[in-house]
Amino acid sequence: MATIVETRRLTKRYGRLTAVEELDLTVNEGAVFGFVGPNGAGKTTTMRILATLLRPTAGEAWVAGQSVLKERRSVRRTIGYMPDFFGVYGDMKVWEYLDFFAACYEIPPATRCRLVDDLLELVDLAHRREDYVDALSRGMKQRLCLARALAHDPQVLILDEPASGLDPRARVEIRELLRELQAMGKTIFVSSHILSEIEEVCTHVGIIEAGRLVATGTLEEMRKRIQVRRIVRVGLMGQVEEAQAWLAGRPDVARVESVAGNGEGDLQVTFAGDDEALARLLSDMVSAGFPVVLFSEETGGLEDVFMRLTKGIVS
Amino acid sequence: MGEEPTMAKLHPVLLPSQGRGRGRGWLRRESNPLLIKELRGRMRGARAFVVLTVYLLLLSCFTSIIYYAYTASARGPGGGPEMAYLGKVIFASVVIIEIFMVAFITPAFTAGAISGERERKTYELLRTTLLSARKLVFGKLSSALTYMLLLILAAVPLESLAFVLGGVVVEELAIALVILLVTALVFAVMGLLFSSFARTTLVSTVLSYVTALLLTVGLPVLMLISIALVAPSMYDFDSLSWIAQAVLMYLVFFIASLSPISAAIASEIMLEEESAILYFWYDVDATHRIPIPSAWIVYTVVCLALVLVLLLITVLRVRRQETK
Repeated sequence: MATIVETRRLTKRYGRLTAVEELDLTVNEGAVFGFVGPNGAGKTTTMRILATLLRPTAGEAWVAGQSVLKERRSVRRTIGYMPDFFGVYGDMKVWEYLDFFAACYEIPPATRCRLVDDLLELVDLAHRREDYVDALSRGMKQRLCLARALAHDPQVLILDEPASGLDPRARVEIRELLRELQAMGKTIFVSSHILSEIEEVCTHVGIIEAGRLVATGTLEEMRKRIQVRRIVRVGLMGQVEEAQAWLAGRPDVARVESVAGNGEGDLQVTFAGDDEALARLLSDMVSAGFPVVLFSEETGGLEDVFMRLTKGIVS
Repeated sequence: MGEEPTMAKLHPVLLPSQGRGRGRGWLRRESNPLLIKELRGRMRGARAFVVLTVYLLLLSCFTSIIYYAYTASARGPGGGPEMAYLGKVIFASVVIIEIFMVAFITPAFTAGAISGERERKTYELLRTTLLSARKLVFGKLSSALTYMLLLILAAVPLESLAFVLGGVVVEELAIALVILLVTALVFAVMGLLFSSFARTTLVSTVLSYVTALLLTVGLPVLMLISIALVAPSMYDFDSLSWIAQAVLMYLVFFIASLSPISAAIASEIMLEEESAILYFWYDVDATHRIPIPSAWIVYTVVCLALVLVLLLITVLRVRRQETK
């Protein structure tokens, strides 16, 4: 897959404060790239540079092969940008709002009418076509803004915290929309400070902290990074202490802890090994005669990777 | 997945639009999207009509007051000259009041044009579109001017009231309209300039009104004071060389032409005394005469030049802002 967004040693300083430091980032075409980091990590700054709204102090960035510094107009044609905080023209009707932005993207009047209807259909606002923008709920405004960013059929979408401040239902709707857009072949560069929020839609993740990219890779790669040390919960009907001693004696078990559970209590096993080794551990336990009733891996979400990688430097 | 942009299937209308509408902005009959949006917003709801109504009501009140005040105080034998004079007085006061109103209403429409977009956090959305800085500035300017044009034209019947009474010629009305339109233009551009620089609309509005006050009131008052101060030492004016006299005359008329109020009054005086619509010959001494252009022409030329410079600065400012 071809690279569609690339930054090289991208740096932005505001006086003595460094917002982004030597950021090297690549996003492949068709990917949904989750850009994750705590507040103030430099996500918005990076996105604003990519959206041609900010000039970097140093470094370069390209969108679809066009420089965000030199070919700003072509970049604007290629991207659809949605900032984290944005206003809408409340005194306009929903269709007028989209029609206006379509016109700003130089879409001829003859085709705009169809386009507006299609966009409203896409973001599920067709029934609010004649309403004033001010009358829409926050989630609807967010969707309208997304529709606006799609008016010129951009290849790349740059969405800065599209789900922040939305209720759970509106979040799900945005997530569904992102899936739909990915299916249309769009590359989506989406940021969030809450990883679990975008974990389900991302194909790739980049974790940024204090202006530096801490980790990047596919969702699978990121998951593997924590699965080097997996945590397995083992529930037993009895012989808990014996099992604990037995487990502690195995070479692939790093640590065994007794935790509160049903009845006799459970064991939390920190295990270093792949799936095969884990299966062997279970069969060995059963062969050894331990009454195992529960054997499950505590799937560490990306949140764990996130917490482990970002050590809370910013916060 | 999706090598073929499936969006195009969903929106087949999108494909032909690619790459169209570039350049040749002045030649293409493509309208400015911002102008349409702004006009829609401005004329929607009651505000535009309330402003128009209040404006016309105020003007009518002033006119009536002048009419009754004059007829009450000058209850003479009646007849032609008095009525003609009344016509002149009404016309002159309506125009001067209108100049003030235009100078103070116009900034209200442009002082928040760009800073307001920033405050409402809509500016960035606008700047990431293909709308150029020039189109943005011209869209904002023309939407404000369109409304001002409506206000100015709506008051023409009031000014024409003077025709009924007599004493006013069509040329005077035409000159008054030119001054009003140019005033609207220059104050609109000034508001826009402040709006592009100021952090908040409040700052921009205050700056616009201070400037409006300086130009309409400050400058004429300053001129009167300086004339009063200089005049006593000028009784040997005739002893100066004719070139010095000519330069002084030009200077006085030039300064008088800088403010819309004094320009309007000076134009009227020139029309009355010298029946000069465009220019008149001033006899410096027995052998030398100099042409002096009418004040409204100087005012228009100065304002248009100023407008061009200010517009250029505004467009450059809007273009530069994003690169910070």
